[in-house]
Amino acid sequence: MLSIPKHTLIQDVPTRWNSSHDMLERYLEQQAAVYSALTEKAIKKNKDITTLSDQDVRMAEEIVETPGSRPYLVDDACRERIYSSLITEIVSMEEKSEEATGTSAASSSSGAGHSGAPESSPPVKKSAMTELFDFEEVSNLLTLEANATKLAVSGFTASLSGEEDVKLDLMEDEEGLEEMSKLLEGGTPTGGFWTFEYYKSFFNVDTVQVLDRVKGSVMPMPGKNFIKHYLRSKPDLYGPFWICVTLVFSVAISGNLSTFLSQMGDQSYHYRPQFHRVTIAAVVIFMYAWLVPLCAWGFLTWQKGDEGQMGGYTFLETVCVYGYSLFIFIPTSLLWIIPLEWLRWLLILVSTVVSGSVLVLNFWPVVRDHTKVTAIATLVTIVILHSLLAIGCKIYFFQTAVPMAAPETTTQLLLTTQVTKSH
Amino acid sequence: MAEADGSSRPFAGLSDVSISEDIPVEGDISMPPAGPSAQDDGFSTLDEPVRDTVLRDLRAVGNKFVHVLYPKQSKALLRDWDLWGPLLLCVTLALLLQGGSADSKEDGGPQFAEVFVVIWFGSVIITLNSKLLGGTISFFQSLCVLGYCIMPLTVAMVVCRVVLLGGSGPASFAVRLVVVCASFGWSTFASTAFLADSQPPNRKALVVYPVFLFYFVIGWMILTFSPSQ
Repeated sequence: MLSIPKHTLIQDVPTRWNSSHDMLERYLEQQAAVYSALTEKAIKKNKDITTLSDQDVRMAEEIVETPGSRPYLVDDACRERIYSSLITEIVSMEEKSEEATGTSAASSSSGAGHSGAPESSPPVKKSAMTELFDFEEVSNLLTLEANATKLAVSGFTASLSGEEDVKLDLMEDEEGLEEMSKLLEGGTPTGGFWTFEYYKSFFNVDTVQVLDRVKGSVMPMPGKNFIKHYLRSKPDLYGPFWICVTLVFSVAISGNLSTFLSQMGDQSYHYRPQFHRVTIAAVVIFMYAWLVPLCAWGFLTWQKGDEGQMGGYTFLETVCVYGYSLFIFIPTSLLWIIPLEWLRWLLILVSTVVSGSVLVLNFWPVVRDHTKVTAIATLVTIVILHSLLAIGCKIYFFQTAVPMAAPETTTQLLLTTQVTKSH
Repeated sequence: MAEADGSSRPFAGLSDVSISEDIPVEGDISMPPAGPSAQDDGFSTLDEPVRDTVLRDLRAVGNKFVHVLYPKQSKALLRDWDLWGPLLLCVTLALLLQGGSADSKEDGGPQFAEVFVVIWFGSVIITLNSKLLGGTISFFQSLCVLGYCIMPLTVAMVVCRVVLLGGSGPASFAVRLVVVCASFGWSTFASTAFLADSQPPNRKALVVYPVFLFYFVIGWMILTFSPSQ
């Protein structure tokens, strides 16, 4: 009947930009239909319906027909915000979505021109239809004020409408970055130290990796830094902890066995499990595995802080290196059961050399830049502490006679073994 | 400005449809009384004799023991976990294992407290380890499984004690060795049968090794038990 398109009336809404403008525009478009509806008998009975007076309609026409009136309905502060966020988005998107501007540019420009009809913009795919609509309006703002970014904006809206394409481009271009973030995710602990997830990041290793690291600790190759080569910024606490536990039990059990074997011929000997040795072994080994790396790390960091160099290790990496370097002592302690004294000392020598060299190769690059005296002193201290642990374990747990009280110094131990041996 | 005449037009035909007031809406809100068992369920455990309550729990514990003895892939241990069984086993084992305190306290076997601590702290640490490695099993479920799987070792302890009554020569040592090795293998196998599915596949060995170590240490304590004179 009336030659106007079939549209519903729009109501303005405070959360939608330019909704008042659209409301007025739509009303003016449908004015004829509204008036004809108002003349119906059923409506006319109700005297309470108020309509726009002529003055109001004239005002509405003025607002709608003023060229460029739409930008004036947007708040200034809004516009600033829109500009800044959009500009940053455009700058970042420009670098990524050069290909996406192809097909959808035509539809987006047509969509941008026909801004009064949100229901007729087909390229919008997801529920951010409102976002697309808003950005289209904002793109209008920008085209009104800055022609230079017009292409970028159309590319931006196109990329918004072709959202899935952009995602694919992102995937292709930033695979490296994603991998890096995944690595970082595994490496850096999230949450505070009181959460469970913080510690979960320290156990992010697979069986193959643990075996690999163990192998690397047993076979030190010159030039292969254990931390750089095997850890690769993913230190774990699984290895050090369980190697220490295994070492504690292997030392205690082997010591017990060796005592038993050495006393087998003795008729008056009554076998005793000597369980308290486990406690002592646990205390000694765990203190070594945690305090010595703490001191080493503190010392190296302090040294590094003095001269401002890079390349130090984190505390966790130091603990990791020390923990894995203790692995060689597990088979050594099992072999210590064999009651040959010279073999035991030979084993001490071999194991100290191997694990000491792992540590030395590891700390050499950090220490190398210090003065020669400091460097050599540091490395020698590390090796000496390591060998002290080995010797102490051997002497205390593998004595060939009745064990005495807990040792305090190495010389005291040597004296007691001399005394007990000489009968 | 709600002259939404345009929008009310599509619904114009419905203007005279209404729910007439005289169609009664009726029904019965009260629940039909179920059988006496359903209603009394919440109350019956108060009224039942104590023997029934205790026997119910004992039966659950015994059922789990049977599951450990024949470790198939059943979910009974995991689904309704309880810690009664592990407590019973741990106390029994610690009582049987405690070294003679009459002798010099330096050289004795593990004391009751030491065995208790080893078993419970060991279980807790293994559970934490498996959770940190990404396991999906819950804390108490894992404790329950590890505790129940000590059962073969407790049986071995009883057997060892009986064998030791007959003397402590090398023959008895050989018998004890065989018994302890068999029960250690059985325990490890049973616990991995229950725990293995909840671990990520590339870390199974990392989780199984501490369990192996745990039962090995307990087996060692059983094997080296020597009765005080």
